[in-house]
Amino acid sequence: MKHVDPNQDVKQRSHRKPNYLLVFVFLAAVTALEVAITYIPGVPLAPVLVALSLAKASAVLLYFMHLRFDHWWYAVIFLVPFVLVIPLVLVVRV
Amino acid sequence: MSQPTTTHKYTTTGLDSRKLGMWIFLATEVMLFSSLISGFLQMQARSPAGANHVLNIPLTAVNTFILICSSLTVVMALSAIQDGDQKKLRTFLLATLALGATFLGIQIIEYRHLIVGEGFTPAGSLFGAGFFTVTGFHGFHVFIGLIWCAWLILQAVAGRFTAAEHMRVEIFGLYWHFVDVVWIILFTLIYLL
Amino acid sequence: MADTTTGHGFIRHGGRKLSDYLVFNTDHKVIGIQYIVMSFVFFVFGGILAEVIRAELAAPGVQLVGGSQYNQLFTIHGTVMIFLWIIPAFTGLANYVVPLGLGAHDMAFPRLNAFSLWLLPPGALLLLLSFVVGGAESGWTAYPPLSIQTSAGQTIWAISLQFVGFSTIFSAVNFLVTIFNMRAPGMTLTRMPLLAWAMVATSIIQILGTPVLSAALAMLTLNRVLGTNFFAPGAGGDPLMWQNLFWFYSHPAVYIMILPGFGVISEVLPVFARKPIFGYKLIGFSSLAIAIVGFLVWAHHMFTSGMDPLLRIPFMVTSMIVAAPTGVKVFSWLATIFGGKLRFTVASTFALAFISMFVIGGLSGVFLASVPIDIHVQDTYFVVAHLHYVLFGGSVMAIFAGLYFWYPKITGRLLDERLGQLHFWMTFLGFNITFMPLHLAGLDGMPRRVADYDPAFFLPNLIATLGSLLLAAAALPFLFNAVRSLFRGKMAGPNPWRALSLEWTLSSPPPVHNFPTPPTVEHDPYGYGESVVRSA
Repeated sequence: MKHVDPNQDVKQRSHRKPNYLLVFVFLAAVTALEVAITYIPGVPLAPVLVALSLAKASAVLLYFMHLRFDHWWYAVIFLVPFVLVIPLVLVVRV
Repeated sequence: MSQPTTTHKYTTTGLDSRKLGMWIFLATEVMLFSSLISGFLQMQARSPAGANHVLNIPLTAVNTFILICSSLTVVMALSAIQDGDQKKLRTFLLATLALGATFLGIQIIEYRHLIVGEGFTPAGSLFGAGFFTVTGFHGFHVFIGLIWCAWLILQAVAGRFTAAEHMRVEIFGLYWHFVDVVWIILFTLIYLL
Repeated sequence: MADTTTGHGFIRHGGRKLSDYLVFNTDHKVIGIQYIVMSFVFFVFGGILAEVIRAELAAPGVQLVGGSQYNQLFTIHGTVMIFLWIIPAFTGLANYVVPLGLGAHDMAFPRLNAFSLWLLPPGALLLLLSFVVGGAESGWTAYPPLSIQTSAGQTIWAISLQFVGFSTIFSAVNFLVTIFNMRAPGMTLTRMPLLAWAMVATSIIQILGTPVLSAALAMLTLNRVLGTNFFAPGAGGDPLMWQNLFWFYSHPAVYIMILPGFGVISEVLPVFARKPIFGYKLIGFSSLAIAIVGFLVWAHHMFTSGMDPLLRIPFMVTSMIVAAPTGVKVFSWLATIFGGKLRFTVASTFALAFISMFVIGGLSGVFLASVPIDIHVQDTYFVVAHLHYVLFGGSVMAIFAGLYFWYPKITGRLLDERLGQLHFWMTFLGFNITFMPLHLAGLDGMPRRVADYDPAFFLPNLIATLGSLLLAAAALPFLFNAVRSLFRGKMAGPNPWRALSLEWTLSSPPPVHNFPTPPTVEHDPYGYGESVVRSA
């Protein structure tokens, strides 16, 4: 850990501010879309809705929670548990 | 926007300790909610198809929207204090509190309707057990968030946050957004599928 | 230049009063001592429960306690030893030592640290309450349907563990941030003490595992209190789901209980072998490997549960693989001693005993990992013997190695070596006499968790009970030594063991704020016998 900039966190954040309002509109629109889809017959609900909800979750994580602009370690810390979640859910459910 | 002078303490990795701590804590919350969700899925699997038709999707969709709004307001609060705007910080935190409280209020009304009106109770069915447990834990997390938000508002009014030092607002935001992310997943898994 | 004159009176930590140790204090050194003392009280309590169990098991038939009383005894014994003795004892030792070893002035979050500690007394009180009220009868593993049917104490038991769980989660966050963010200048990850690596691995397990237990306990509590039938088979619930969620945490939990011990051994052995640790990176990375693989083995506790038979095979394979990284450590420790100039102090003696006893326990574990064998010995005393070899022969021996090693740093005085040797031999002999015969009883089919047993098992049980008396008595020389040396022990000076890690550069006890200026680090703390400064 040589020459680490102690201002790293502050600097990264201060340079990148996403358009929060745009993200919000995206989230609201996808939510409306999700509800609308449940009224359309013949759509394979599970894969479509799960994909849409993951898109919303990603938007919150990447932009509201700033993971896209922060040091990648934070993303790793958040993603590591999901590796374990897979065997957990599989074995409990199966 | 000017480069803020930092009151940032030196750390070996360059990452702020409080922020690092909050992300690690969120990892524990991922495991907690994953376990509760697996419990829910198991109960759902052992229930008849369409067990969730008793739930009010339109109302909950509106509630989901309200929670998403609160995520916007809390990140706007952070954005405000990053620019040193104390007034907007307080306003947006208050808005977050109001929206969060509304979410919880609607949840409680929904619970009451389900239990009293529809006879859909935690003990009455396996689906009920899973539903009330996982949404109840989520609601409890919202509740804790509201208390935390109120405390932050008091601190903001007392002038504790500046453009240079406002990490506690940021880490509250991380918690609040996470609670929103959980709800995004729950809404889909429980209500829509 | 160690001052070895005998002083009188309790040495104060730069102005600390005794009352500082009884209240909420954010100094990691005070918190560490509080954890250690508190956990030792529970060690004694859990040991008393064990003695009652062994008294009952001294002869076939039910003489003293049977039925639900007996069930509560082994339930509370297990719960106390795991959650109120081993885990907090290591947390306390690490709390004291790790910030010093990193060159830091405290943990990253001192108030959170104190909060973690003070969550334990209410948790402990609730656990004792459950014992008094009665009803916590389903073992520390709390399988439904029994754990749904027992009386109120079971609910209180479940809630008490939530307190302990939160304590460990916050503690884990604290250790991870401290170790990553508060190292002295120049201390890269491969220059820090191996105890810090051990705590990283331990903390990762606590982060990822404990919440799952918390969820399971919550579901159990709601099942009992609100009637949410998660686990009630009669109502359509799934008792196996409890087992999966419980063991998903509780298997990695055993690594929580041993990894810090591995760290202690890695600290102690090089000092008394006067040789650098062999395989620093091997030991550090194997800790992480254990943490990862340890999450993939849990269903080996469920081989006879009625789980999907096909799933047993991958779990058998992973359960055997998980032994490998530990084997790497054992060989590294042996290579450390080999060619060194081994000095037998009580600390190093406990460390050596750790290696042999843990290997025995580990070997019986590999047998248990095999499905065909496990089918025959599941729920027998073979498992009881295995777990005590790894947890007592392993973890507890390591705790004592650590206590004897760091006692001088913590108190400023040396423990009496002869009383220490007495403690060691009584412990070592008492432990082996108690638990070695139980392997045989288990192989012959003696079931665990039952007060009565077939007279064919009488001899190993009698021997075990006699051994347990010796083991219990062993606590006395230790306690006497620990207390008396506080006031009358030889002065230790800063570095009685001539060790190289950073805590030994400070006075004993260290100043309240640890290092006057942060030290600069250029190599790892294991350069024993080397006269030239090494680069890492």
